[in-house]
Amino acid sequence: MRSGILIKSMLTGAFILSSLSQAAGAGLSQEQRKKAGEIYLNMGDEPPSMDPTKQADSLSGMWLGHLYEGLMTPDKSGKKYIPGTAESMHVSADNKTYTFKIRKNAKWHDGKPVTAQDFEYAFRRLVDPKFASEYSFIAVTAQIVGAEEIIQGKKPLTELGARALDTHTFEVKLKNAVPFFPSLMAFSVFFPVRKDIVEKFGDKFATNSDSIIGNGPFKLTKWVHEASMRAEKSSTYWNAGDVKINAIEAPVLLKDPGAAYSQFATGGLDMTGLDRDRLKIAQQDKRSIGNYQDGSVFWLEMNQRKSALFSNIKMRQALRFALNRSELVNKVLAVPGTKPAFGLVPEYMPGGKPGSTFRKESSIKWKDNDSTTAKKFISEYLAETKQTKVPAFTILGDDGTNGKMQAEYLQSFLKKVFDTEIKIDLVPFKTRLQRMRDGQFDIVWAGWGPDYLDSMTFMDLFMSNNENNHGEFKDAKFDKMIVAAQQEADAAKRIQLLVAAEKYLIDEQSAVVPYYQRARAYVSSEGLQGFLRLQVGADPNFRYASWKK
Amino acid sequence: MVLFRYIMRRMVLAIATIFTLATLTFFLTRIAPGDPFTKTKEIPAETMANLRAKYGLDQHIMVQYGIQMKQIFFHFDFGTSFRTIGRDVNTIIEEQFPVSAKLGVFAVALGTIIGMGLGIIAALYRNSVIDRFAMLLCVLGLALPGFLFSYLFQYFIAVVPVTQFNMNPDTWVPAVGWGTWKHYLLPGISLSLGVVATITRMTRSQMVDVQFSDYVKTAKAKGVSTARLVVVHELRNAILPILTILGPLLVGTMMGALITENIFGIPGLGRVILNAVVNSDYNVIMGVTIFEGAFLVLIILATDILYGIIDPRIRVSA
Repeated sequence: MRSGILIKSMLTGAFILSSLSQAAGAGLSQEQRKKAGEIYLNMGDEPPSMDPTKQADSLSGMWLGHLYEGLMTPDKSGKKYIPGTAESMHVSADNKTYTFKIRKNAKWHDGKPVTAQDFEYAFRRLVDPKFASEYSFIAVTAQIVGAEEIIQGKKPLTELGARALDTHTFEVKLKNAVPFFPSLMAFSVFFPVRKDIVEKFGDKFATNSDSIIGNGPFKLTKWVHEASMRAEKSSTYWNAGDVKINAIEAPVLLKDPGAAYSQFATGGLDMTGLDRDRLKIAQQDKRSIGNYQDGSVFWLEMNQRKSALFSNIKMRQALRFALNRSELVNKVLAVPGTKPAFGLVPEYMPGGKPGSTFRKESSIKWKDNDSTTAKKFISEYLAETKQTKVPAFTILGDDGTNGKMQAEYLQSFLKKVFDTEIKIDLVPFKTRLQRMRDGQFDIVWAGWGPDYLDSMTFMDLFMSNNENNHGEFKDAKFDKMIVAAQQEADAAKRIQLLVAAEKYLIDEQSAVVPYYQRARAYVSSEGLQGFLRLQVGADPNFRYASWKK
Repeated sequence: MVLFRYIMRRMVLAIATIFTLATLTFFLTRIAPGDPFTKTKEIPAETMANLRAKYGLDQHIMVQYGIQMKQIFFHFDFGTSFRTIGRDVNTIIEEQFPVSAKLGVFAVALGTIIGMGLGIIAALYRNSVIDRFAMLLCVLGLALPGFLFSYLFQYFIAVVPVTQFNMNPDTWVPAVGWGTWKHYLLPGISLSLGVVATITRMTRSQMVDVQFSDYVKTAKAKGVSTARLVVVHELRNAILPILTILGPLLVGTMMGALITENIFGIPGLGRVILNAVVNSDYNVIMGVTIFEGAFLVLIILATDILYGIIDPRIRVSA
């Protein structure tokens, strides 16, 4: 009798176990995915905000760029923007009024037509002070009429210069000509939003797959919080015939690069990023490794508040000449594609002339690792301040990935040139940010990722009133140069002004010391092609991707 | 009456503990540098003012404290997350806690079974090779962190057989993920090692103690078989102290699983709390800390009360 109960309970246990394994299958194998046109990728973490108007991070941006489509969208090369939900864009003679015609066949995932009112609603939501979008400033950058005053609460929402003229015509009026305005229209905060859906879900809008209705090539079909997400091709998308991928899935959210690589190696993923260690393993494993510039530029920011060591220009110049960028890039960071930076603006940023780049139009160049010039500046500084030795200074860093290694490298390197005691202050991430804000640092390793495809996203950072100017470099001449560029209507002239401003900022003032342009490495499955790795917008982008047959 | 007063007294103490925990957590999160809106990219001043007003962070800290305490203790509402916008902390705990709990229960159950078995054997064959081996395992299990085993197991058990020996990844133990019984194995075993170590040592010392007691001698003299002696006479008495540490051990294992959860991509509370701390997500830090703290306090309270019922001596001395 007793053994009967034992057997029964064992059977029940086995049954429960087997039913569990059926309930949540292990997903498709790589071969099955190729056949079904599905892509499994590691997105690392739960996306913080799937509300396009609130989006402020790249993780959410990746999903949103697939679930929604703006007036403009990246083309197959990822370098140009073409009409997306708009079928045409008309620009007035003074370049200050943009008129978009919305496609008649553009539809939301529930089948309703996309209207100009949906854009009007989204644009107003962006600048609404009560809504408080972190990216509302981008409407000011875009110079949309009324945006600044509305954010400050000085004007009502209806004063915004972005209006639906009729169901299919959307007009945006700008204060000044903004040459990169079309590219901004591909950015997620300018995606259309459905008023009825927002009102239906309230605070819970975009917090699960039911409360997200997009107009893009994919629709979110599954979102298990902290666990997995899945987006499937939408039949309502106006150009659905051109979309070759049937589903994009993040079957598991892995923050740990080692775990993600393990999952990739066992066939559970089609793409994942590689850190420095995993890159070596992937090379040994002979994987198909790619790299791309993720858009970020890194530099040393120096505290230039009164009486701070680096408020002295000689010290700043010394630091700029001293750095050995190629050693850092090749030996310390060691990710192919990472390049030394000799300017604030990275090399992919467009120039003023068609087909040209900002860097090609700039003449800034100095010798890397030039300790002779650096030492010359140091002795000038010592003579000027009547000192015999450079005072000790501190490198502020955080205890995140590579933080310690990078700070220690910089410490030992600078010690040789400056011949003084250099301390490292490694603190938690938020503490580092707070100290930068409060000016409690001498040097900090910082960087910036572009918000839009124009050099202005880097150049305005060092204006006197910019919150990101943590070193408090304050220079009226530089401010004027940037304002002049912001008001310049001619695209070529505008870039000339910015090139001159950068030369002044770096060459003359050494207000910030450029270090490197970051590249990231990743592995992808054999046969996955046509995906884009982008510096701005949804990255990676699978709108044009396919599996090689 | 004595029992009633004892229980009331324990409950008041428990509530006071949770309240102190909540207060400390609240002020510690506010003292720490930065806030939820301190980001790599600074938010422009006007927007920052709008954001802080929206979330009530512009109010005086004591006002914020009062509001949050009222919400927590009268409405059991922890508010919404600052990082994952729109998600209620209560929902996050509801959805993510069961995952951590299931993994924790599995690890503790597995560790207890193995640990008791090992402990009994070690006690029976005291100072033998088996005993020494068991004690070595205990030292390792206690000294080495669980996540180290997680990395090792993941690589050598899940990855190597697939990449080097052509095991089919669809049927083999998965390297990461959550959802099927197979997903319990590697994280569960790596977390259970600490439990094995604790339980083995306890079982062994309890069994050794009991072995020399008078009633065991009597039982032996009566000619009771070894199996019956161990199971009925010795283990029954040795097991009580083990039962009392199981609760705290479970909570400890669950809370200590955060790195293991990250390594295996398990959607439990571990990764939630990691993200919350890095991002100064005040409400999530408060919610998870108070929830887990209350869970521990409740388990200890339940143990205390049960003990009080079983053993009258404790009631009086308390």
